[in-house]
Amino acid sequence: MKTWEFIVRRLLLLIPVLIGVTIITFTVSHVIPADPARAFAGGPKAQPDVIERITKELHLNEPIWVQYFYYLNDIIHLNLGRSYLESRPVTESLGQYFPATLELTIFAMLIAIPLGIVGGIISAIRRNKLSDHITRIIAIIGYSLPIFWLALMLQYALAYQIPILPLDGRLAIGMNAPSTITGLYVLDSILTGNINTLGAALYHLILPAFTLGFATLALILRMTRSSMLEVMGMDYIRTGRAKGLSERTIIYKHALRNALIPTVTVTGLAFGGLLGGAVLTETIFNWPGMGRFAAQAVLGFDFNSVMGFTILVAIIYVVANLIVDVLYAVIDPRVRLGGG
Amino acid sequence: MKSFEKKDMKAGVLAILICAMFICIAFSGCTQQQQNGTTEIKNPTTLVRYDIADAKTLDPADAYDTASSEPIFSIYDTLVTYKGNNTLTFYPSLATEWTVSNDSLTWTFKLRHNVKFSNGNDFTAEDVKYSLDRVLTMGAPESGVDWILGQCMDTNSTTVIDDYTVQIKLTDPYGGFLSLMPYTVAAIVDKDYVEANGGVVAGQENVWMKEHPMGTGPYMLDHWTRATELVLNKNPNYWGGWEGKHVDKVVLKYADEAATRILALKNGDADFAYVPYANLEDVIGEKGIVVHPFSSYDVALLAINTKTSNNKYLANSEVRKALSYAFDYDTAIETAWNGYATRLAGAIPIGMPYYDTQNGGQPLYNYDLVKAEQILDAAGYIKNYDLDGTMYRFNGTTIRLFYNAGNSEREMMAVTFRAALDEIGILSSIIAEGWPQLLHRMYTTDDWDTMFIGWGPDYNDPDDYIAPFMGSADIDQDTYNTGWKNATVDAKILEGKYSADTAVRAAAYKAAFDIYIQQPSFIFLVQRAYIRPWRDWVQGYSYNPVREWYYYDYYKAYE
Amino acid sequence: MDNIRPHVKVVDDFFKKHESKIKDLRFMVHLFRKSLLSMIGLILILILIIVALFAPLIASQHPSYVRVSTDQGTTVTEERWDIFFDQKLLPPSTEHFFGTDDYGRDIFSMIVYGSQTSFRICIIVVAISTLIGMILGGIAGYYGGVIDEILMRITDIFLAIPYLILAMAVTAALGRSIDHIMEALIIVWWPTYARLMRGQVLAIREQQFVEAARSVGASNSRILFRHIFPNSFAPLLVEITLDLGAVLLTAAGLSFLGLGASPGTAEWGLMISSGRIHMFHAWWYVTFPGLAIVLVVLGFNLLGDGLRDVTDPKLRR
Repeated sequence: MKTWEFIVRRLLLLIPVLIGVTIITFTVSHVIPADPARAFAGGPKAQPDVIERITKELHLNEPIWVQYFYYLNDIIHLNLGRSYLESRPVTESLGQYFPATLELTIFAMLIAIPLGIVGGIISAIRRNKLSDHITRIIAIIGYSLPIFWLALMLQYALAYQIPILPLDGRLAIGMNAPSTITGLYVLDSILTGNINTLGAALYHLILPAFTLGFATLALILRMTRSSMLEVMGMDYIRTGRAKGLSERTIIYKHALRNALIPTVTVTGLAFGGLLGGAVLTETIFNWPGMGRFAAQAVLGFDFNSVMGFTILVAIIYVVANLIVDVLYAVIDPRVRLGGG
Repeated sequence: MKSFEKKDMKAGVLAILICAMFICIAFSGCTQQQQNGTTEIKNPTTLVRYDIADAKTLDPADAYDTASSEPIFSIYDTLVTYKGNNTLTFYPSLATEWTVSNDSLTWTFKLRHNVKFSNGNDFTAEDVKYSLDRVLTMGAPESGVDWILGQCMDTNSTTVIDDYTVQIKLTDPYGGFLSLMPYTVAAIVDKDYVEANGGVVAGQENVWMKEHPMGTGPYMLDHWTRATELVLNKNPNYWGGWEGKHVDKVVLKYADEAATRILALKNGDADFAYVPYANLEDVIGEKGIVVHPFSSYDVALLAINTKTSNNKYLANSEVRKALSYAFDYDTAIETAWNGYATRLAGAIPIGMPYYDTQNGGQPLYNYDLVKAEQILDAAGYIKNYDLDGTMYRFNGTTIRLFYNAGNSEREMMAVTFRAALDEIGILSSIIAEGWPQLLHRMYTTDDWDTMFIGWGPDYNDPDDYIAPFMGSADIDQDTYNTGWKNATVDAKILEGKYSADTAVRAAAYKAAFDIYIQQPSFIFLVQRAYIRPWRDWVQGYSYNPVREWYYYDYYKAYE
Repeated sequence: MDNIRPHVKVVDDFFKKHESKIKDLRFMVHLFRKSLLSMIGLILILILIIVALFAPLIASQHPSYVRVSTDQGTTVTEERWDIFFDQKLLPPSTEHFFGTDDYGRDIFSMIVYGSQTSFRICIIVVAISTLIGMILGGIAGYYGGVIDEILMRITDIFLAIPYLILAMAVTAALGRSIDHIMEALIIVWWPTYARLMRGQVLAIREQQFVEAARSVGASNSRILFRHIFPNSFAPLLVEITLDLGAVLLTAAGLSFLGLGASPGTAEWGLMISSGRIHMFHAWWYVTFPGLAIVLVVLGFNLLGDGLRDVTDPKLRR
């Protein structure tokens, strides 16, 4: 089938998936008996009429399936409820914190993908030599580490004991953020020509992005290595060598292209891991992103925020995988023609 | 292999150069910060405070948390205020003089002339009436803070006599009325400004006022980036003027990580930092950092559900007395508060008036497991339940100790208490839950045994402490829904509340306490010290337990 | 068969019947032993098992277990450690190999007992998810059609939410306890196995021996259980071993966020969370539990890698 048919079909499949996700989040948030109305109204000193009003607004006394339809309706209208922690709509909170997480994730991928691919290639070319073994050991340790522990250790070593990197935050204390165009400080700094904030933003990105990306780096490295090995042992490579093509051409034009296919898939799946890892990384590095907000919401039992975050992440993840699948289909025609 | 490696090397070198360029730019951002060890004052006209919570709102009519009241206190003014660490004297702020009628019902305030809001509007008596009425009409839908004014005022109370005179006629002769006025709920807003931005709607919050304050205070809001920082700039129109030494800018930051805050303090990037009790040893003795505990009115209590419907054992006041003997107060102070707390004799904390009506100011119950067991045995609750070889009381019923998840001090106290309960044969379990769940238990299902709670001063009057804990639901108290009730105690509390005579109040509170303490519904745990380590170049700082931060007084210099 | 061993007919028959399979197995073991990394993984896991089994003998402090009743009327066993406030936050020494924590408890002992908790979590979560996944995936793959489509959509839904975040949401709702973490992780993990199983079944069901069984008149369930399930298991084994490590990491992450063990329990993720505030003056509190997690997960990963290498026909020859 043609590419656009493929995309449309996948997009349509998105809908039942997302509905299913909302069912899960709704069920989860209504399992526990809690008193969100009273909590919103101020706790012990809340006035009864205020509690009543909020109960009506949130339809808390109606049967559960009615509540679900209000819930679904709200989501369609981009209303994710009110954050108890921040006293404002969840969409507002998520909207504010989203760019921070996006920037962190992008830089984590910028570290993980190139280094992972290059490392994988080197490892595959120098198979079973010392550099291969070292790279592989680093990689396998890389995704055996609990990400929050790695963050704590790096923070302790490089921001406290030998303080060469900042401890937390996106910018230096008291430094005004660059004028908001995208919310990504690096991009905004470049666009507004602000060297100070550009330097500070990059400086503060180093540790968190590295921590977040390390496990993905390891994964991509291994994936690239094994698919390179697989491809390099194949017939058409040998034919190429026999024909007298330079090694470089072989590696870059033929082997790499085919080896990258599974790597692309893995990257899409790893993206979900990045979103999850962002929760832990942002907490440790005091990064004002969605992940830290979600962690606080979980601890603060701010269910609306937790569920809103989950839905948003699900959407992002599904869309990201869709992009990956499309890329995959573009690179490898067999996928398209064979049908989803 | 040769051709492959040469070209690759060129590409590799280029890539490395590009990365190096980025890294250099990055590290250029660092040289400004890493100046360890110097005592040069950083940001000499800016005060930076690093704490643990972000503000929720900047609307004084609906703010009831400390993190919010802090910036509000600097942006807005009240009629009267406190100064320094003095909690007994009222100082003029927007009001210059005040008198009260003989029946304690009518207060007359003369207001200050030539005061402007930071937008240039004039301050008049109209603004006072508008602000106080606004609180009552709006009803503080987010926080419930309007109860503070509502206990002795309604929308007919405040009258404008002329542009600079206002009269407040109370609905009841509340003795502590004047101490309500310095609190943020009575902050004065600009009537014209609010009317132009959403006005007052009964039962609804004003979204604009939450993030766009407009006050007469020394500072204005520069920007508020949630979860990152709240920055205040000096208000050039401030009626107090800017002669003398003051900081021009205040940056309030927050971080969950203690490590972050401590390092910022050590670097000099922060002038004040919240350091948890457990981490104080990281900063004590550090060059340039001052660690000084102040006595605060913040207390920690254990609420007990006395309702028979929940647990018949706890409904028995003898059991509750025994529990009071079973808590290891001193160990709790050492471990949970790292020594920075003191015993609490009753509801009223040390430093507040009428503290010594509570058993002369001495705690009645001390840690005595032997006595606890005697009381339980005498009450008929013997150890007759065998659980895997250990004998327990109450037929093996578990007493649940609740606290809100994440609070490490309460967690430590719970763990300590559980160990002691085990020793006297009471089975217990520790349950950490979220605040909405705990509220649900407390107010809807009554399904809780004990809960660790905390309380802080809304205003400087012992009624703010006695009534919520020792008063019953009959007089609209029993804030934590313990089910405790005693008509005599209620009567005494009301007597003390609505009298302005010191002797009358003292006698009433003493009588109430003596009855209450024999059948307590709370275990009074500790009164904790307030510690916010600061850099030694900060001058003018003093701690006021009721009104905590007054940035206008602070400045940075070595003296 | 040599002449020295006694000839027992049953045993001989057994060996003859499965001769080729046994030869394969011996070759796999041989390959496995040749790989240093795989052997290291095996050793690490063996150490974990030994430590978990012999915890009371290895540790110097021991918890007691108290049964308390919960809100739901059931009884649950709580782990209680003795508190020694005068010994809090001591650095590593000969008496306390890994130092003490903020309640004065010996960290080494807590890590040792924590191995039991970790092991329990990993095994139970993976075992139950595999079981559920295998059954649902097997049925879907074999019968195909509508059942298959429904299962695919359901697994799509679960797989749409990153595992940590879904587990977070579920645990936040259910309440803070290790049992709830396990339930949440099972909910999160079973779709992976269902998908894997389905793929395997799809590949196998067209093969000849299945056709043969069907032509002889074997019923569907018989085919499923006697032929398809056993043959699909090998790739699942690799996934299982790798997942044991991933489950441990996720469970530790949840505990770290405050969603897992109740305070006072010896659980590695929780210890790191408690130790975080003390990192500047008691680095051992965070470091050692973390190292424990790393070594165990590393062991599972090396083991899993090794298994994958030896069972993958392509890489073998």
